[in-house]
Amino acid sequence: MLNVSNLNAGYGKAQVLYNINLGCKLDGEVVTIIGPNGSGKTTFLNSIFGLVDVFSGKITFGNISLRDIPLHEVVKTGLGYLRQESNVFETLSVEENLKMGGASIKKKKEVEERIDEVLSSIPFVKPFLLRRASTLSGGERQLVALSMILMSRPKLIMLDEPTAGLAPVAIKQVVKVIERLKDENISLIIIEQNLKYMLDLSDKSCLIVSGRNVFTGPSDKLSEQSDLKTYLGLG
Amino acid sequence: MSTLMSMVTLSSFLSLMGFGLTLVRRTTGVWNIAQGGFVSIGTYVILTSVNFLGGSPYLYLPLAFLIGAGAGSVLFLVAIDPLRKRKASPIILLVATIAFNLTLIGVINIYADYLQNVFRINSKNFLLTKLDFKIFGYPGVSIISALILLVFTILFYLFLKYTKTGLTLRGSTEQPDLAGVLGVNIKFVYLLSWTLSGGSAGLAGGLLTMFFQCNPNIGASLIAMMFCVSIIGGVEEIYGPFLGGWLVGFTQIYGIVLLVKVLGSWVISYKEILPMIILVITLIFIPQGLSGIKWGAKVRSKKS
Amino acid sequence: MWHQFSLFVIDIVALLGIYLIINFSLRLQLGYTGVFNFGLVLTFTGGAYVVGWLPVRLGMWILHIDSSLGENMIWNNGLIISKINSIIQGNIWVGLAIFFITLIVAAFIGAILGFASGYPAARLEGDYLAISFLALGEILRVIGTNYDPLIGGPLGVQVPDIWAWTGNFRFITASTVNILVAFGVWIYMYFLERSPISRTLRAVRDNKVVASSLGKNVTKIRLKVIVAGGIMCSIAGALYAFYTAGVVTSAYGMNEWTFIPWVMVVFGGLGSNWGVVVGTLTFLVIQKLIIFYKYSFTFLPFDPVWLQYILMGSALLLILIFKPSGIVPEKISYALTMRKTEKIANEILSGK
Repeated sequence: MLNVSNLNAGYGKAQVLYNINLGCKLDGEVVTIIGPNGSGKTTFLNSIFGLVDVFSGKITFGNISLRDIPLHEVVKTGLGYLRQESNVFETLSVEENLKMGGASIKKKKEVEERIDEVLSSIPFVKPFLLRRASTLSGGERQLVALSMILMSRPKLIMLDEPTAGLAPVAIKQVVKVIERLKDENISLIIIEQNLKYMLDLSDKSCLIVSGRNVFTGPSDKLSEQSDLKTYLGLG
Repeated sequence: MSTLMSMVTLSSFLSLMGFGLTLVRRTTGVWNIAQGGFVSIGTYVILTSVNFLGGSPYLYLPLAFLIGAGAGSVLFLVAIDPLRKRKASPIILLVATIAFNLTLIGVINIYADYLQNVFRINSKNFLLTKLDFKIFGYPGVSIISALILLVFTILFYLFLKYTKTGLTLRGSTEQPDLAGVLGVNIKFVYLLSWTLSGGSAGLAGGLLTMFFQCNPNIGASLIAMMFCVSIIGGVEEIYGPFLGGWLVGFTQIYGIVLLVKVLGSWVISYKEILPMIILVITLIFIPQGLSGIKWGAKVRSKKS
Repeated sequence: MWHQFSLFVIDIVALLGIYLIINFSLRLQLGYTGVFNFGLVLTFTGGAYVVGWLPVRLGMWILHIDSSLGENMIWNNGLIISKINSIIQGNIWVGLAIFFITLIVAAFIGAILGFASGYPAARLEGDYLAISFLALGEILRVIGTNYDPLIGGPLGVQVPDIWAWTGNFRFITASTVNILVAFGVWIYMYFLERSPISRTLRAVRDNKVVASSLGKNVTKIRLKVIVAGGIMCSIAGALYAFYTAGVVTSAYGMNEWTFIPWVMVVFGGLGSNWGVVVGTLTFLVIQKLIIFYKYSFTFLPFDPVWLQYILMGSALLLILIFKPSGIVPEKISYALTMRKTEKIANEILSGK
């Protein structure tokens, strides 16, 4: 499982996260992270991967300490990361994007086989293979980005606002893919503002406000907390 | 050498030299002042080889490439990479290349002195044209440099388009963080760019010996010129330096001929200034360079 | 032996003065406004060229020297200069007049060159800015080397020795004047640091967008700073040309007068004037020591002067990697002095 304890992180000298604790089991657990804008949710995911300065704390995946390995090795531990922005290579074609997703796979044949497997999982992407990623719509882009992440056979995927800015049709497609991932026992950590779609899916929720854990617990308990309702705009 | 041949030689040389500068700028975001020094290294590799091992300078071009490549990787590993890890700004990285270049100037001059004093080889002012040969009556260096440029360009294009490493290079140039998240070892990609950059500079230096008077400090005189090539051509696209190289070569040879007709022969001594004036104009009006101009968009906007 | 040593010290002091002026101007531009001026050599050379061109003509005019010689200034250069020098030897006022008039013209030229190079460049960012300065610096060098009437083309010219009236104390006088001017610049920098202007400049350096939104015309401020820097550098160039009593383009290269000042300033630290002094002195002493002891190194198969380049390059690299802010750290500038701040704090704490 992924275990984060007492994480303090930030940018340069500016601290953004204070003593964050979170755990996510493998085999299909879904954790949602919610909170107001600027509360540090993206920074949290960034620090797990090592894109941001970690001041102190432990981050372990299985028995590997993620803080001790370089960025490009993290994906090999079985973690995937769908970022909110810059999640596809605009100047490359979709097929080349998928190949980039297979960067951690050594054999060329294996990459090609894996591309076929991923495309059968997410058939929506097939028609775009030769198109340049910059010509894709928001929804198409998200699906390509998800396919790229799947290339490395991750056991746990972190998704940063996967439905943000998408038209309802696209949202449905993305949610469908995410549901299928859960069915295949891939664990997920999802940052979402569009709670309507996510709360049903998720087992556990974590509310982060101003860089601090305000609530962590089962998702059905989430809406019961009255002050949380204010944060979430639910009532 | 006829005017056309001069232009072909000069442009090929400039394109090769500018290629390296643009490559590291695109991938690592650094303007490498030491590129001139790498060219200088290339000239001394050829000088040393022909004097100790004999034969044609062309035989040793691969060696010039290799040693230039080595110098490029040393600069990356010793200076650029440690600073990059500390999140240094582009200007600090620029200053680091200046520091490395100063060291290089010292080393090259010491080496030149050594060759001169111990082996009595003329190393302070040399030109190896007499070791060149003729192809159909034209100087070999003109044909060969153009050929090398062509082959180099094709090979590089194929590399970028059809190999895994080439794809990785393209992706990492656009989004290094995303590439890292997907498992690309960015340090390796950067090292590759710097190595290639140094190599192409060394190669260019080797060719230089056969048509230009070389001295230990030729690197300094090339710095301004290579920026002209890279910036005028534009760093947005990888073919930028080839555009820039040919444009600058053209102005240096034919542009001057034209100006002499219009303004008189005194213009000739000032020919070095021409690319620099174009550079300053480019920086003000089209900083993205020729390759950065979206010609398609301009056509479309005219239609509407 | 003593004579040699004293000459050694005097020479260092003279060059220290000149380099300090350049380096303070770099600190002003880079440290305060973040202007990456890689074209210091441009205005420095400009000042030197003024000295190559003007004093000899001034001398001829003031002293009514045979104007037929003026038909070919370059050819007759040596002859004209020796005539002027012999008169200056006995006449301090002529020497001083030429000196001051030339300095003022040099300052003016420095301002113009600064403006000309700054105007297109001030709008550019970071490293693009640096490169445009580099190119402009080169343009002047090419003109100087090829346009003979300016300063005799590649062979250069001699310059009237305006210190000739000091007789045997020539070097000490020149040296002292250089250092005094440098000291003046230092005082200027000192007061600048404590003025509100320094905060404006730093705001421009650290966050152009914010400074601009607060009503500060960023481009205009940068241009002013570049012009001020240009004036300083051209005065330094003029002093150098007077000191060496000659101007030849090969002595005004980008290595000596752009890159090495950068090494000195980055090494010493941009954040304070003392940093500039430390950096300048360190490298100047190393450089001069190597030259001084050159003959002890004759066993080496190369000119040991090149060792200083290796030393400088390596030292700078080490500093950049391990202590990028330089040897002397930046002092935070306080709006009020410590004493006043403490007084106010005490008043608040005691509940007034």
